[in-house]
Amino acid sequence: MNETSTAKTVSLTIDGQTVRVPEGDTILAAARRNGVDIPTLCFLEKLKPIGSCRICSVEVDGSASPIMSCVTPVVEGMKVVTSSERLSRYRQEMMRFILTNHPLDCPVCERSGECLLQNRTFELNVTEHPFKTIDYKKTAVDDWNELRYNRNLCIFCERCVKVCWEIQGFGALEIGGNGYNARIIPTTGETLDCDFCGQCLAVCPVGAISSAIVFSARSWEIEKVETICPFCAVGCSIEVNVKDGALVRNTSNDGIGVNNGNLCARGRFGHESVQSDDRFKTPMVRKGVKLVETGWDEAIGNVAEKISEAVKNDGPDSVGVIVSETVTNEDAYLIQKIFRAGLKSNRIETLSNMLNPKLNSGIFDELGPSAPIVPYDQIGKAGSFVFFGCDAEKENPVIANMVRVAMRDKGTPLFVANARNPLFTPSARQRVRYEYGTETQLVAALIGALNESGLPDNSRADDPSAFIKTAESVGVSEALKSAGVSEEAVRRMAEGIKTAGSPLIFLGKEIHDHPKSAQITRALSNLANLTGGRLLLYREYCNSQGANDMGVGRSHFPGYLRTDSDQAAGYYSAKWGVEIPVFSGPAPDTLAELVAGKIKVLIVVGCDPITHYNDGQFVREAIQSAGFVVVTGSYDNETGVLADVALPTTVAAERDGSYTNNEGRVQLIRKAVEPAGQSRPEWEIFQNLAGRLGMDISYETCEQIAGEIAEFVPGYHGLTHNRIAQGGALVDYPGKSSDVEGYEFDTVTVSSDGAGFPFVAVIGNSLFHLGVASRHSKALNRMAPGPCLEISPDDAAAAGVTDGDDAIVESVQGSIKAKVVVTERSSNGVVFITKNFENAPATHLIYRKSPVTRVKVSRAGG
Amino acid sequence: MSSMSPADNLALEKALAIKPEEIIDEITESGLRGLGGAGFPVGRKWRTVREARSDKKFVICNAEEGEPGTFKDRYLIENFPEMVIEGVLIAMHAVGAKQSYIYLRREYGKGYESLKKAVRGFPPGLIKKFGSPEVTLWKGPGGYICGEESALIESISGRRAEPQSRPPYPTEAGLFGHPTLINNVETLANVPLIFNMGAEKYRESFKKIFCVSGDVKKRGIYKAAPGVTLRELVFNHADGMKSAKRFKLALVGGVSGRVFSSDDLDLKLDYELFGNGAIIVLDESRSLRDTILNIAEFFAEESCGKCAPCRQGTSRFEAILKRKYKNKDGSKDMEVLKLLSTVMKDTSLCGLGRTATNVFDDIVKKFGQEVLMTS
Ligand code: SF4
Ligand code: SF4
Ligand code: SF4
Ligand code: SF4
Ligand code: FES
Repeated sequence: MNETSTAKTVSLTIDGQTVRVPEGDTILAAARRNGVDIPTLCFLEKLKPIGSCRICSVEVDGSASPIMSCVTPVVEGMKVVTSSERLSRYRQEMMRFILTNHPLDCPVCERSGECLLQNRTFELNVTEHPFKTIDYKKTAVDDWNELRYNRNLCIFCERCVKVCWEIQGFGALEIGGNGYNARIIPTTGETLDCDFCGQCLAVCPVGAISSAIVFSARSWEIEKVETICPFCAVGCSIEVNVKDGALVRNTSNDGIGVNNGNLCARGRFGHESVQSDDRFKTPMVRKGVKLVETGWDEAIGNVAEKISEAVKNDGPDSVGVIVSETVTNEDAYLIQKIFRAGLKSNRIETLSNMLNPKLNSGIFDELGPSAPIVPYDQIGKAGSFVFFGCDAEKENPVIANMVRVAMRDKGTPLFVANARNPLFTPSARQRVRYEYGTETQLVAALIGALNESGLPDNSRADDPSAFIKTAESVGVSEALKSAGVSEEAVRRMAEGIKTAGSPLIFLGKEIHDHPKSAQITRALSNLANLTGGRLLLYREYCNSQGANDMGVGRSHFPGYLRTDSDQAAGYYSAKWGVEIPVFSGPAPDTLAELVAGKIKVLIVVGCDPITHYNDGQFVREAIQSAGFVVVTGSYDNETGVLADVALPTTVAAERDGSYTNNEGRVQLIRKAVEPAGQSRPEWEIFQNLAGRLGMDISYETCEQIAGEIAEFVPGYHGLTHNRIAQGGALVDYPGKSSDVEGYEFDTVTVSSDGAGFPFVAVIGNSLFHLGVASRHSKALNRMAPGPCLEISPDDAAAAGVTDGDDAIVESVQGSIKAKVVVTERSSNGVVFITKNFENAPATHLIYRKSPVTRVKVSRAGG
Repeated sequence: MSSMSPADNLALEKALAIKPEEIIDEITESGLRGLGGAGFPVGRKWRTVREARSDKKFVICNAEEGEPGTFKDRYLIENFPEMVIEGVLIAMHAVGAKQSYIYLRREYGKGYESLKKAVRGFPPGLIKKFGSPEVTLWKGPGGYICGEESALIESISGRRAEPQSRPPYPTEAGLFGHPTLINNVETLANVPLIFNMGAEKYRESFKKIFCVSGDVKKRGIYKAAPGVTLRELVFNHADGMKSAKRFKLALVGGVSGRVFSSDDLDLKLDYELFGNGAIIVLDESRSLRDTILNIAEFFAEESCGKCAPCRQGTSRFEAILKRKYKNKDGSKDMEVLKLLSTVMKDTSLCGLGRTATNVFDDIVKKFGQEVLMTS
């Protein structure tokens, strides 16, 4: 349905011109829609109108005093005048008011040149004001941990307060004090202790809020390069700010990308990682027991030689590669092409595919046409949100921002089901807490309840029986026994979802990493299809989706063509101009092959499996069994220690390429600064290697590879760098969501023996760290210096730990030290541990043979 | 006031016996208007909330009596808490709200206790018949601005008490985004009377509460029908001026109200003029400039600081008034003050900023520009 054609409109006159605008428009929106500009200061498109600056006044027939255009909706027949002598006088007066206590510090203010106040002062021709500044008690700038607040520069527009509340859901700022003594203060106590998303900093129209990362450049000395944040799968657009070749900060811009100017702490303050002293800058080769610096020539030559040797002696399958999900599409495509077309080896993996192929490269085999890759614009259209095993606020911070905006503007209700009790603001309409391991039972019960009360009209199931089969065989009350959820709650939630219609169901990391992730996903897919909804899959890294799309994973070629299919092999043989073998079914996993001595040369691209993969000690031993190990990366890491050749790679800000984000949008990353030291982008390194191996694979530029992807890879047709340069483009994935099927799923619960290890451990990311690079940002390390253990008050008491303690967390597999956070976010029996700390990797607690990780907790040194 | 005693809960029984729409008709019929200062027809407000479509609605009784010179709400909740609560219950029933708040000024500890007692005193059976509504006593953080409807709503929602732009009006999107009826204590306390005596009789016998304070002999609470003159209130009810000094002026409607000089003593006070019913009387010994300055100080202190004209205007006003004039020439400042006053009135977000200079304007108009120069 075409929205604009059915929406009601209102007609009014603006400066004598009759216009027709959608009902609900404010006068300001109506004016701008018709090319009439009204000056504003506090107004910001993405926030609800604030109405604090009183600059945007207009005359409206019938009103003695001027009306604020940003807060006033239009009504039929309204007569608006946007400029008059009185209005200019009042607007100037407001500017004088605002400037009264704003010192003319422009020459030393870091916002100078990009300050809205400066601009308005100029536009409204305000040159002097009759009031002498009352000396506001000259206090030093307030230290807000990662931010700084200067009361003297603050004009009290209140954007910061509103953005923190409406978009970030934190409410960490408010106006303190009254009238002239007002100032912005943190609500979190003495100083600011918040998400440090910097949304407040970004919306501040003047220089009153600044970053603690001292920044010594003026706006006109800065070049801004638009690119994509490399820290997670949301794929936010950022502007890398460069002065004299150095990266000085990241900024956001409401006008670009998927994120509408919102970022999380990583995106906004993680940029120090680019120019960190920890950068690994020179190729190294092992000479005896030591790694010594060398040139690219020797290093690559060395690798080529070892690969040739292995292929000659043990066949192509003796060479394997583990590719990070942070490499670009072009890198990923080239690497798999070198392996499949050049070496004829299919030993190519990502860590996620090693862990959970069904939700990664196998997602379309698993769920076919209803594979859960959903454009973000569905967030605004959803009838309701269901967070299933998902902590959106922490896992996908900027998606959480989008959800909040939908809740604010459309009143979309939220339902939460989780084994823990992660919070969300605004609060959920209903939350249920299930026992970890009983997820499919709960979904079966929800489906059963829906079926009993009658399916909604927008159900996509023509014949619902296939969707309901499993649920029926279990029965609502039966299903709930182990889940620990009341029947009443399940019926209420089913009814709530049905009434609100078209749920958008978010799967969290808890589900992604779950021993029964595929079954849960199938179950939820049924729920979605029965209720006219969609699933949004969890993706972790900036190019997790792209790496799968590019065929990094043994089961599929780029574009999800199966590697065991004649047809697919034929397709790529034709495209690549060489004979591609049909790679027989999924082979045993890489680690097992390593241990079995089948892989002689292992290349690890851009990741640190020892820190980031489950059961690090086992991974270490597995990698050690390879005869020759090549590690590429931008920083030293644990896996790098085992390298025979170590190759420095660029980070995102130092190169071009593309990532595909969580919604399946391919977006361009752009080079903003020169590579550190001798580092190179992965594609260059592999191009070089292909040359040394005498392969007929040659590209001059990254863009050229993208061109080939756009030609050959199903779903990516036409997506050249040129095409994606503005706003990216959605991949055209196989299948249409209209032809859906019901999936069978089992409702076997996962149980685990609690003897000696009383708590189930859920391991995930914090707001401040994800992957390798964030640990090399000083700011992010200040925000989160080490792992946290979130534990419920009861469990903390039982374990004898209190908030702020250092605790020893121990599993059958290993132990780490973590800071105790006693919180209601954890429910009894389930603790949450943040990962990504190489000095205390939570992943080391995971024992690869037991489906559920259980831990015990004790006070360190106690 | 003894006629107000509702010991038998007659009003509640009567209201229960009829449909919510009929309650609203009855209220409309009674001619009751908001007695907190705005004078908006109560029946119409209730109807708007009744007709708003939402799964949740709220009623709020505004007992944040921050205006200097008013103490009638306190009087009512301390002495007639049952009537206030009856009013709340009838309002909830009429508009379809299950939850209500009585938002009390922080200083009203005694009133809090008496309300608490009164809530417990209602016969459970009767309350059940009302569908067991929830009445929450809520102590505000204190401050003049908390009495402003939208600020009060913000405050209950857990945010700073800060006025919001309208629309949306609280009747459409108020507390937690739901349609919300806000009435002042006096308004709601009148509701049971309407049911006790019937709309018609009530309309004929309606009396407004006036709080007379300042330089009069008997400060206090006086009831009088709209149309009463200031002369009657000051010289009959309050027994005239405190000392031999003559009447100079009265602030009718408190410090944000209008100034009545001796020329205005016989004006009839009706809804448009009496505001919230506060009458502050000053005798001839009072300095006009001090009066203006005191009020300016008050508003500079109480301005929430949200919008530019009021935040800056109130403090600017205060600062200028504090200046000492050696040569008694303040004419340039007077120009600035007048400009400030106009701008604040025309552009401030809420009533505070829009009325903060009422008294200044009236004094200048009625007593001449020289006020600034006189001592
Ligand atoms: S950094 Fe983010 S969470 Fe912290 S105060 Fe600013 S907007 Fe709020
Ligand atoms: S700190 Fe910035 S955004 Fe916040 S009120 Fe002051 S000027 Fe506005
Ligand atoms: S880390 Fe993810 S959510 Fe945060 S700014 Fe980067 S892309 Fe956006
Ligand atoms: S007029 Fe004054 S009290 Fe009202 S919102 Fe503006 S600053 Fe706050
Ligand atoms: S832009 Fe409208 S009040 Fe500030």
